[in-house]
Amino acid sequence: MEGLGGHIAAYPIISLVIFVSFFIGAILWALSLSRSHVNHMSQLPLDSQAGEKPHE
Amino acid sequence: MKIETFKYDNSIVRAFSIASVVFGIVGMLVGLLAAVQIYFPAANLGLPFTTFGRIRPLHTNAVIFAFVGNAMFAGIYYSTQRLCKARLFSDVLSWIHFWGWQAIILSAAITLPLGITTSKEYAELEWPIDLAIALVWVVFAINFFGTLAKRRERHMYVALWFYISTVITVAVLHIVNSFELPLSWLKSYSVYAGVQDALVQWWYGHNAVAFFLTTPYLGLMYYFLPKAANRPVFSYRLSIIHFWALIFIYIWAGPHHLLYSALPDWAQSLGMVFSLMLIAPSWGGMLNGLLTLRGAWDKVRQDPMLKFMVVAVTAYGMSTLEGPLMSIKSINALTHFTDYTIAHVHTGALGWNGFLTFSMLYWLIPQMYQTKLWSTKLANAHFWIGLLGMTFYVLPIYWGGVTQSLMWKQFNAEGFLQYPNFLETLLNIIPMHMLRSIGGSLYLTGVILMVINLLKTAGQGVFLANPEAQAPALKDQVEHAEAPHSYHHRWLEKKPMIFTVLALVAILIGGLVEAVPTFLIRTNIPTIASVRPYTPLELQGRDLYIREGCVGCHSQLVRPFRSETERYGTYSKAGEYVYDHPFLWGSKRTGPDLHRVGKKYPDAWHVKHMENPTSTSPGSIMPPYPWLLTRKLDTKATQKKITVMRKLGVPYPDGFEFTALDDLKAQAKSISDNLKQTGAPVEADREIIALIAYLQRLGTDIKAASQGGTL
Repeated sequence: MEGLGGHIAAYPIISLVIFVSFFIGAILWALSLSRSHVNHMSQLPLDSQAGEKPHE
Repeated sequence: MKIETFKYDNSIVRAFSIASVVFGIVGMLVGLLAAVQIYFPAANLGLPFTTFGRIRPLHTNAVIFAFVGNAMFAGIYYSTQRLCKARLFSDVLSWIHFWGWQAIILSAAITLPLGITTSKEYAELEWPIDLAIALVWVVFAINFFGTLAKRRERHMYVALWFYISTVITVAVLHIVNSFELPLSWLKSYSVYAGVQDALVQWWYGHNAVAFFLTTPYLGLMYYFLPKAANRPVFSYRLSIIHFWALIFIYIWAGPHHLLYSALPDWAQSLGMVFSLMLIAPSWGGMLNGLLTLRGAWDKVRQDPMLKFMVVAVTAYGMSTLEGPLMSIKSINALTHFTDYTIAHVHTGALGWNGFLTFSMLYWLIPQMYQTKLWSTKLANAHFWIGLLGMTFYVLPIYWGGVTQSLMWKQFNAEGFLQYPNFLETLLNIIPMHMLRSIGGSLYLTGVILMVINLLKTAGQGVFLANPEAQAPALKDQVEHAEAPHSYHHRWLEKKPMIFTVLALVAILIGGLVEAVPTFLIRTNIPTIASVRPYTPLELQGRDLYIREGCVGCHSQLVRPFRSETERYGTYSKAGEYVYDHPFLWGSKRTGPDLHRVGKKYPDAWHVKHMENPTSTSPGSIMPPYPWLLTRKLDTKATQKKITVMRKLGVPYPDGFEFTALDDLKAQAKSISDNLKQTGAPVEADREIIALIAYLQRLGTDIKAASQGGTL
């Protein structure tokens, strides 16, 4: 493949680097959350709401 | 700390819910009509407007954008208000959004049966409607982000992230795929041609499935499933990884719709690899959903809402395993262009989108009407009929798809095709199509039971239009104590705009990696010297081919398999499509491929075939097109068509537009003269003449140079 100023060979490598770092980042991110925060967040849909009855 | 009192807007949620159900029934009825026509073509009542090619896009548009679209807006508006502890940003915008969307649906329901279409799947609507979609989507975006801006809950729950990715990605997809040059108010041509048009279309088509049918519904799952189970989601951390991995990977996988096509090989491989990787986030999400029910499975037995939800999430898991498997080139070689794909999408549509919508409605309507569901028994009946209907829908055509594909590929001991007549392979699986329509009818019956149940529920309750709620203003809230390492995503959850930009970057990377080389590198689409632009008459014929929706049943893409080159002729090359605005590769072969049909049959054969397909092909299920023989070809726009095509890069010589009409008439006369001599006289000014000109041209440019086929 030619074009893009002759640097096309770097294209797949760049893609791979972006891809892998993106995932490592996302996993680290998720792991770094504190337990209290996670609990708070996961309770959000269950907060008692106006005009809503809890599901039986 | 000052507590603020505010009201949620339930009216808009109810309006979108009603619209979803009404259009859902219409969309399913049209689907049923299309399904019946496969074995009983006369079900079109002899009308152009109700013929398969025109109503198939009507069905897909109705169920995707009207049924699922309206349900998605209902669910998003209900949950966003609660998750943000705020009323929607603007009531006026909410109602503009509602009526605007319904107007778009109505215009689709009018234009598609009239044959006004761009022919690009799930993007068939013509450019003025495309503009309206963009405007209404902007209204939705302002209303949604405005609500996020005035929220009283500091952190955005994961459902909201999925909604954010939906709002921005659908906008990007829609705009990029809708670049078209108008010819008139109701006709335009894609600015992309051939392979590039195919890549953009399936980047769009695939991600419309991802960001219209999947991400918003995942948001709904993360909101409504915990509510139904009355317990928090299994793992919030997993939901974060699910989200980022899903939106990042999904966008790369579009080329899996174009395996073994004329798309450059590297792009096909990229599509396949990323599709396989998609299993990980998809199954992470499915397991996260199902594991939310840990310890609550006893409830599933009694609660119809949970039953629907469990099947929905399971169907999501099944179709997101099946999709990647179908993206493996060797499996795709078997399933592509067959009914297997139709079964696959219906596992997703009927199971995932349908059942999740029903689950949500069974929960929302009693809540908003402050009452209990009228009949749990009836809801259970709906569940079982729906499940049975789904099974009867998908299983026969999974079977039929594989059977037909194997028949296409079967060689006899002498090395010839075992079933050289395409029709034989189709007629063999007709019983499967009959079973499929029974399945569809059962599913629709279930929906009607739901409508009765929900109407009765509404009748026994009182609608609460503006429930009152209380929460402290955001600025008055004290952050709860932070652990030392929880900074990053917490910070992001507080910043909707930065979050949105990051999500946008994540979805743009994959698209750019595929599109940039395909558009910039010449060697990816090798040109072929003998490929010439269409003549004016052929161009008119091509527009008729688009109007009648021929692409719904006939591909124009011969794959490089011996079974296909034996049947159709030499395989299709990228360079053959450089003047195709839009591309017409198709995605389903209910009839045979047409890329090499040019000069295969005499002109008179086409006249007889169009007038009554069974006269030339006994047992054919193609509908007759008698109107093509009687209608006069509209040649008013001939000159402009040449000008527009030239603007798009088709190299017509200077001044050709002024002689184009004469050129058209001369070619039409020669075809008409030929027809008179061969016993099928048709006037030169009829539509069929143009269609014949186009069909006889198809695939002939390189035929002389190549001897690969046996046509």
